[in-house]
Amino acid sequence: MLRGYEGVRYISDKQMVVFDIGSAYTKFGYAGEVSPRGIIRTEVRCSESKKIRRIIDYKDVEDLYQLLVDFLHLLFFKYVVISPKDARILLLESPLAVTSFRDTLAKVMFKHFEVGSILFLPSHLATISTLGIDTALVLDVGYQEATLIPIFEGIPILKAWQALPLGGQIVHENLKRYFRDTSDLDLSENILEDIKVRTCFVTTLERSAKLGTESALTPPPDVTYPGIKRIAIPGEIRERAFEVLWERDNDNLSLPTMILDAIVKCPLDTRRILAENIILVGGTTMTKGFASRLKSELLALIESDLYKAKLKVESFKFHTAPSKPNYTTWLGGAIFGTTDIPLRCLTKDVYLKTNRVPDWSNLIDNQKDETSYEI
Amino acid sequence: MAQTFAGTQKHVPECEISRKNSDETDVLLSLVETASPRKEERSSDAYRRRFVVKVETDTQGSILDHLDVHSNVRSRGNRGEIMTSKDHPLVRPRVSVSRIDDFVVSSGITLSKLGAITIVSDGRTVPIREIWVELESIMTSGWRGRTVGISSEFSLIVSGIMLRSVVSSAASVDSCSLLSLPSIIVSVTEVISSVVMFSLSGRLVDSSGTFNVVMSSMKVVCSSRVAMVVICSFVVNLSSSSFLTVDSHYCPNCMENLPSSEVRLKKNKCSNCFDCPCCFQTLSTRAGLAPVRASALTEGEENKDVKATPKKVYYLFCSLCRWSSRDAGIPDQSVATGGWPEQENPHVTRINALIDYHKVLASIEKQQCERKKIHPKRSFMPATMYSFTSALVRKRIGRPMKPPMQSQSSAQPVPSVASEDVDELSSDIFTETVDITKITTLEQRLQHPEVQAEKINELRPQHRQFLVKRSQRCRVCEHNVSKSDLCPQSTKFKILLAAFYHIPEVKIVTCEPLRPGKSSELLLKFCNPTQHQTQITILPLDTSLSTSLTEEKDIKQEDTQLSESSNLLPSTVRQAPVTEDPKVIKVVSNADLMLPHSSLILPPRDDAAEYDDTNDNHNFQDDPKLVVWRKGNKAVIRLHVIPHDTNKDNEDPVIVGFVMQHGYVNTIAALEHKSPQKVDVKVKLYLTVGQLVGET
Repeated sequence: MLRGYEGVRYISDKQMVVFDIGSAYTKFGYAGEVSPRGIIRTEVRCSESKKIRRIIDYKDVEDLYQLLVDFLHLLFFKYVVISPKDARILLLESPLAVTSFRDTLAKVMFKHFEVGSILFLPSHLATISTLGIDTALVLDVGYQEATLIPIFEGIPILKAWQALPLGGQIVHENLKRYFRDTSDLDLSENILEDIKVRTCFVTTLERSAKLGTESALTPPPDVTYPGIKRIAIPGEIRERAFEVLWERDNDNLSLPTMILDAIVKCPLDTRRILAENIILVGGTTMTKGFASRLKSELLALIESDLYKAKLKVESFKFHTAPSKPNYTTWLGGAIFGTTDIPLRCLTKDVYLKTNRVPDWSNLIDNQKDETSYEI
Repeated sequence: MAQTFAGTQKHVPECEISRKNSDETDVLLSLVETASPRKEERSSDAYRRRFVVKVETDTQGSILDHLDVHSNVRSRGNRGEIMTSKDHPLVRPRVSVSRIDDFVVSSGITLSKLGAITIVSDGRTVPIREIWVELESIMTSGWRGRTVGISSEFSLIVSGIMLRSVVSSAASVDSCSLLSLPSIIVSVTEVISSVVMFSLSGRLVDSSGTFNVVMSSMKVVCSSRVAMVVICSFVVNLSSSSFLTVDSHYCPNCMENLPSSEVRLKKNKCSNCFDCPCCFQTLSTRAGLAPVRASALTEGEENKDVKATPKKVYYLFCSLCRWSSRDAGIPDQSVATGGWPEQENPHVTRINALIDYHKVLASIEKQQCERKKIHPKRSFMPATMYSFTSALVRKRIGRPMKPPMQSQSSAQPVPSVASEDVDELSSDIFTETVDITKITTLEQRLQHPEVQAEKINELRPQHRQFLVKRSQRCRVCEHNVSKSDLCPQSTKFKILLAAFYHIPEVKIVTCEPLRPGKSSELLLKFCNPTQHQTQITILPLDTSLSTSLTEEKDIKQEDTQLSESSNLLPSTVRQAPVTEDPKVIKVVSNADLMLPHSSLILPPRDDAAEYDDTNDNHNFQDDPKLVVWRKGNKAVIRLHVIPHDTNKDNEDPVIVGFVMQHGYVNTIAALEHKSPQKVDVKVKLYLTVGQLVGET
């Protein structure tokens, strides 16, 4: 796995630790490595209630602080096994994520664990590091939501961002509703996730159109889920579980319209290039049939009245990163983390002095620098 | 009362747990979770297994959340017998905890008598020869964000004879919540008994100087967490401010201890031990004879000679879920120690090319930064081509609007090519029946992120991860407050400044039934663990802790001056301590405490006096209203609790709070000073004394 000299390459320097803390799973590892050291659930046993709690279920900032202390402690001492003091951390975060989460995370890192520096890297931007190109339309379908930011020539086109609450969670809810209504079973999220991962898939566009109508085709075979109590999973629900991602909501939005809407919002001369450089990341995109369904939905939509007049794009092309989609973003961070650019890091000294994390949406950090016009 | 938990689909062995029906404790033993073989016995007829019994209590604030009992059982019988029967791969020798009596803390904060454990295999009781007790995660609640460690003693009671301090070990540190402790391993080799009882005692002091003693009822108590804080004697700092560092890495299976540089090379993984890809337990290496190949028979005579002396081959086997490397199609190895094929990530060269490219980009950026001398105060700049305002910045630092061409010429790797083809859903999925047992779970997939195999037989064993030993330092002066022995087998400490040895121990002896508005008697026992006489004063809860704080500050200053002069640590080495915001204590006292007017003097600890029954009293002029009983360095005092009238709801336990002030003689700092320092330390204590009995 290692090239002969590869191990030696980073041994002298303190390696950067790369975290991608997702809402369902956390990917962790070291910069310069080809895959994360591990992927664990973003949950921890709460030291107060002593129940396993997911980080995203935090009640308030104080609660989040405590959960993060517990969770990062677990990460540092059980999984990454590194002394956090003065460590260099790279955090992948979505530019659309909650500011209070990011601020609390930085506070825990600096105040409790006393890490040396943190490099916040926008996750969509980091993703293109895995491709060797600088233009891509990055669609991240994770657990809580699907987010999209087009990147052109290395610059995110922020005005075209898209986000919808479509992801693993809504699929789980869909399954949960089904089992509750049909067989009065109240299944835990973990079992639902297991059922989803092991039996469900994204069906084709043609079949999906006929689902629920009289002309529905024979559903795929049923599966019996083993356990203390056997659960019968009908073929129909296996096929329909993911349909919720493709159904248009009240605003006529769904996963494929996110891509098209984003392209429409982009400048005219970037549209074709973006449509031909789509990359799908996030665990939900690994579902069987996801990419092909997305493509056929896109092709069908582009012919529809909604977009026919607005968009003159004929083909959609997809990139394949040298990784599994659920850790592509992490890999982007791991590749970027080898560059060692101290200028971009937020160091402990600076943080303790200013007590805030620079943010793109904050004017203090985004002022036009007068000096820039001197030259 | 016996409870049987069926194994879950994760190959969890079936287990039967019986427990004493104790209403007060309501101790619930959750399922026996895992069973993994420890280091496999190399001797012929012995076979070791490790059982993990998870003991959980469901009372709010129970003392032990988890107690993992790993007992290595050697069976004389053959391996198959103890392991499992062939017809039912899931039937395992059952670990039953035959008696969990009390599970209780006799009083106050000491936990004792955890229970008895019997190992039952196929209905027969297996004699236990060796017991390993590993405490991995004792959870505490109400300790959020504090540095708490644990100090505990183990003693084994075997057949009624108590082998006290078989191992008196104690444990550890944890900067946030006592999430996990390094194992305390009690290993007794001479025990031949089917029942082993063990007890654990410890006590705790909150780091912020608050005792958090919560007692849920008279007999039973739980909640107080077995814990303590470390104390930094240099700054007399109950170390709410200490941080952890990783000391050494070791493999939890083979106990190999490697230097950290080597560990980094091996990616924190043990090169010899493997985890089962199905159930994540440790795999054992099994020897077998090489199967004779049909082709060998047809060939020449030389091959026949080879056949005459069959070669020994080795394969990996999971004794829990019966996964074996043969099932997975991994070829057998001729050496026991390894050479197992590693799965290579097919993208290594591609990723390395990308890494090299990014390094070139970074060096270009660095050169340009140096040339242009960017304003130094902008150290976190959302700058350049990887961030949002990069076009602007590029202009600012004088680069052309397009990224420089030179970077693309030399190091640019082949850009990824997008394609219209995507993985189509195979049409088989609509017709083929699915055997769900052949499909991996997400957990199994994520065990090996690079591959994430979907079929069970594509799973490959993974190297076992190293664990770490940790040490704890004071944030203020960077002195070590707790450091364990480097050797992974050892459970001793090189340095352990546990508050256990410095702060008086408080135990609840008894409390009269509590009624709202009425006074009830509360007996508290104080024990002085130090070598110096101390005076304990009970103060009201709203006493500010400031006096002790100012004194602490004084000491801090003296100490820093001191160490500068004595060059213990050059001042330049030290950084300004990072102060974490203090944790808010959410405990609210709902009862009044009648405070005594006099204080209590406790003589120093005298180990010899333990065995001496004669010279009990030191003739202290005790207030008979306060002191009820006194022996050696211990004394019991009487206090009166009046629960608030408003507290009608019987659900909430009654909590009283007070401030304990005690004299502390700082002997460690005294090594450098001429005379020992005396400090009055104040700590806040909250006691849960029980439930209300009602109006009558």
